[in-house]
Amino acid sequence: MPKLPGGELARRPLHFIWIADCSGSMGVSGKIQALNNAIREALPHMQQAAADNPNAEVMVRAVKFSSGASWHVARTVPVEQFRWDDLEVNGVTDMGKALQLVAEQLDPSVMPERALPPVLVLISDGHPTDDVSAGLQTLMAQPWGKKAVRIAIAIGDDADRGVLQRFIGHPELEPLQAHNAESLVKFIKWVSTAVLRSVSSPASQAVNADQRTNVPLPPIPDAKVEVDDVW
Amino acid sequence: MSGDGCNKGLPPGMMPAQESREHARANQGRANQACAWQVISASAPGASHGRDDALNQDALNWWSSEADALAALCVADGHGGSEYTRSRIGALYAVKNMQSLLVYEVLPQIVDGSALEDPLQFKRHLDQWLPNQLVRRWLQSVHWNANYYAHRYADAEEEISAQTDDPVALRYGSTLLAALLTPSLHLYVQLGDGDILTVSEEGQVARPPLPTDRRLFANGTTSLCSSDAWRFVRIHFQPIVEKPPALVMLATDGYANSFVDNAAFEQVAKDLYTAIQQDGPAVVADRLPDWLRETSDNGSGDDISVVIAAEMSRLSNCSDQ
Repeated sequence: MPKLPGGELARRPLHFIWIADCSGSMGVSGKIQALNNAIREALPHMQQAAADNPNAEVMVRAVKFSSGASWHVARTVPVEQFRWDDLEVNGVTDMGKALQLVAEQLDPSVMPERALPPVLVLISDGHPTDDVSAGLQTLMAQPWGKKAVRIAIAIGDDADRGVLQRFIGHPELEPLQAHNAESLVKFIKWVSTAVLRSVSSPASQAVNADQRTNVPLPPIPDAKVEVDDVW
Repeated sequence: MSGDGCNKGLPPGMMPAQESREHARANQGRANQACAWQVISASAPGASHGRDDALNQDALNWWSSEADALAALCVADGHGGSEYTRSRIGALYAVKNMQSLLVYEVLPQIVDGSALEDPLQFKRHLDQWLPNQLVRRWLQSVHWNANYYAHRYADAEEEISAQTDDPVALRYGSTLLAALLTPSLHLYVQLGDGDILTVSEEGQVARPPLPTDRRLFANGTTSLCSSDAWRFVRIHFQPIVEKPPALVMLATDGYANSFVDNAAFEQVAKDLYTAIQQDGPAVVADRLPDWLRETSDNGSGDDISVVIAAEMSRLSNCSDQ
């Protein structure tokens, strides 16, 4: 067989980043444990969804925020090797700092030009305690921040849906409202499988046509409250 | 484009020699024979489209002249997303309209010398006229198609959620790359993503210096269906002062996206030039569909379409083909 023309082939990288609230309030009513369980439970499904599309190389990371923000999983890990260590709670809700951390990693000098749009999933149960506007501004100043598929999950009724809506940046796509552990699992599974599949397919989008999101998203799962343990 | 009426609009004595089919057919490489420009083309459906049972959304078209070193190359990439339900047809109309404009309206002005009496004036005229004509004719074509087949589309498609000035045109969204190659000048045209590469006789790979389009990012592309799409058409007008490129290659973005970086992709043009020199265009045309399929399978997973023109006079093996 004659040599294939060209240099080294490569799948297109797809960066998936969890941005998780670990403030003290997440320790109430088992919310943090429900989040840990949901991500861990969704992981095999996420790995399968990624394996279904061998043309995208899914890389996962996680940021946690409470009093300050830091990388929970700092190194980009191929999804097939990704493991979830439990988050622990303390302190306040410095969401702005978390968004700034993410923005740094979306800088064009770090992200390859041929990457697929990154997926950012912000999960929170409360009101930001730092300058979240500055964090959002830094994130949206990055071309990859603007092009990212931004999904937000509100845990319980005390979450600041207004801020989560600003993070999403599209008026027609609302934050997903998780009222209990069951609905949280549903949403986490949805973003890590159905959304991942949509983003990893290489269809182009015409600029100038005002789409709801940067990538057409699959239908959002219904998560009606059916059990008694409501957050 | 059929062979009928091919001479229409061409200067006396100029005969069209070879034309591609209107739509790229997967698994089939083609090369014309005995032309000053040896043209090779192929299109491979994306690996991911195969998984989704989606059709190849690319289209390509080319024309070259038997007697003169003339060629027109066109490649289009229909967006293929869930809202671009007819983008395969949009890509077809893109290459068809562009080839018609280049061969029947632009080329005669170059061949009869009128364009070169005042090249600057011709360039200024073309910069305005060509984008307007292209977008206007493409829109006419897609609206005609939408009306003609309205009964067929009515039940088969969901409503479009995107806010757009022209929801009908959105269905047909496509990019376009084109090149018109003549002995006195080369004209390169690009709307949206994709790549145009040239290779010099010495094997140097270059890109025509088209204006940068910063909107081409993260699967976002300017498109024939964008509002005021004429604004996004980029044109480079290259008078041939010394030697023209030995090879010109147009490729949809699925090709470049299959490589680890730009240098690895640009190596494609160099390798193809070497392969054409060593094995001849017919052999390369035979192998090209498999190469594209393998590249898509192990790379982007997207459709890949390529049109290549190699200059015969500088191919050592051309007389054997």
